[in-house]
Amino acid sequence: MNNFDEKDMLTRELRERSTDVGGHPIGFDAVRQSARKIQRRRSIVSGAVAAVVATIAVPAGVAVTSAINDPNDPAKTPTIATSPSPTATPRPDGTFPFTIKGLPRGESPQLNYVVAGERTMVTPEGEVELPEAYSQVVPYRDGWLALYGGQNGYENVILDEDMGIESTTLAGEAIAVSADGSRVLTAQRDFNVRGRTVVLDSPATSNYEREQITWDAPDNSWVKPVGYLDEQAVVFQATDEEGRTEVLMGVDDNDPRTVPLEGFLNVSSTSAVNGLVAGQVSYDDKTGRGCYAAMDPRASTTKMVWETCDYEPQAFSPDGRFVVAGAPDSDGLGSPTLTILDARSGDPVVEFSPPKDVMVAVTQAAWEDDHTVVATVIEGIEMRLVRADVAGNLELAGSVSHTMDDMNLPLWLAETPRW
Amino acid sequence: MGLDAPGATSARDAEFEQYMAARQPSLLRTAYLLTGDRHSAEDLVQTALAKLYLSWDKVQRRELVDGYVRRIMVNENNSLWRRAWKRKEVTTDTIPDYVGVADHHDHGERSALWEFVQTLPRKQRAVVVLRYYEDLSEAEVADILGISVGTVKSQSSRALAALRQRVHTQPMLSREGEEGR
Repeated sequence: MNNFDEKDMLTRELRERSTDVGGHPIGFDAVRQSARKIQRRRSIVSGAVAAVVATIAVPAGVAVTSAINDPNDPAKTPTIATSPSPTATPRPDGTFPFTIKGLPRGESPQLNYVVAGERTMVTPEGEVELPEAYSQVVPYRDGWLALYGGQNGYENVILDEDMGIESTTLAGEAIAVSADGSRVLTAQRDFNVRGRTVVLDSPATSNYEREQITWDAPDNSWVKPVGYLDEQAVVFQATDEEGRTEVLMGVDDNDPRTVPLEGFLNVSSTSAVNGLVAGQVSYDDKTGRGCYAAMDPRASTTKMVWETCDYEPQAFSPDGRFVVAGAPDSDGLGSPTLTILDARSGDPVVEFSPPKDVMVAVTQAAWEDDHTVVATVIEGIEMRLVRADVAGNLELAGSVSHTMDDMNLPLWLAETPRW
Repeated sequence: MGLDAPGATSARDAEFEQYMAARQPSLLRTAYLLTGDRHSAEDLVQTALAKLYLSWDKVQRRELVDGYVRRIMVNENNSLWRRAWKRKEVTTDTIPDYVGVADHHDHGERSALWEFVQTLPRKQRAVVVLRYYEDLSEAEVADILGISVGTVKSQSSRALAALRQRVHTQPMLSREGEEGR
């Protein structure tokens, strides 16, 4: 049997299975009714933001100061090179207008991104041609570490500083980098033992003195490294052949071991500063939305610190103070809103939402520094890099602009997994 | 976007209804392959159409609507899949009312191939459905799912490799393939 046979078999089976699929015709009124529910939920969330923001974020500058400088936690007071200027004006409901039209143009992003054709990566130092179209590219030692979707699954590709391929190994579904860039968490399939995958915590810079640590993932699972919890703990998730996902904390105290984190369906981010891990915990049948939560695994591996059904947390800020989040009911294009939450409470600090009749979609968001997020944003058929900060300021990050053709996404952040 | 009062009609609604009528059977077939059962497929299509309705004025190029809806369905199905998985964990004496519905698809004579498709992880299954059922190119699948072409290749390759492996352990699969010729 060759590939053609298998493809034919699949095509024939899928067509036969779907032939004459009946079901009840869905009427226009039913669709409108569903649309009203979705719209009502969005309004409720917006109202909730207004209430919360009114108590903690008016004026915006005060909220930022309050959120950053926690008098109860002096050890975590960050050093701020440049404080975000609270010049933005929120709407009466506390949210900030979110549109790429008419935004002031700021500096080019300090994050690497990949442009159309998937082969050109733009860094603050200039453009670099990639040897392949990768799913993720992160700095590694003197060169780069990339995730490549190959014929045998994902591959970790180590590249030298000139983008020459040094080595390739079968990989997990993402690469996670520590906030300071000194360590990198990867997964690697073992060629010698069938079904075995190991998770590796490795030095990512030449001057970081530490031995590589490994954890065994469950047999026959697909592994997604998520991030670091502290010097001795990492988080990854493993999906078995039935599609069930288990979230695991890899601990290195003399003998590396794993501890399940109970209650998550999947996780998106960790912070080695605040020790939290955030992810999805439930799906609500009635509302069609997910609920999300943060856990402090050092305190409990079963209880959540906070939970929200209004936002989908995506990534903690480098200083652990905030977490950037999308809407819990993102549509096919992405999240219609961009929100920054207080990492310790899950409450919104600032929310950007589009004006009425404007469709905005955030496809990726990543932290540029402790208070600034860079997001890839679609409006109409235009795609831009947008910089948003915790004070509610919004600007274009550089002049890069691409047009969406045939639903293609012509712009993506290199260090954020695309899948 | 504000919704018109119930019963109100407009050119916009008429256009949307026309799209619904024309594309609903096709969307339902795709949804069925993504979800594996009719009722979840209907839910999926209804939610996708509702979200499309809310964005209808803003989808500026009508030729892109199908791709947009497919993308909504795939993303929604990821959530539905999680819900289904949670249900597996719950023991209940109450039998869902749709169990036992007899139709061509659910009457128990599922082929081993169909069972195989059902075991694929949701993301891989979406790639397989779009690639081998919708007959979209790797680039088109990548566009709809918002992933790289390389990922489409690797996901479909993994699915085919898994199928190949199953053939070795379940000869029935290859016989089915031969019988279908």
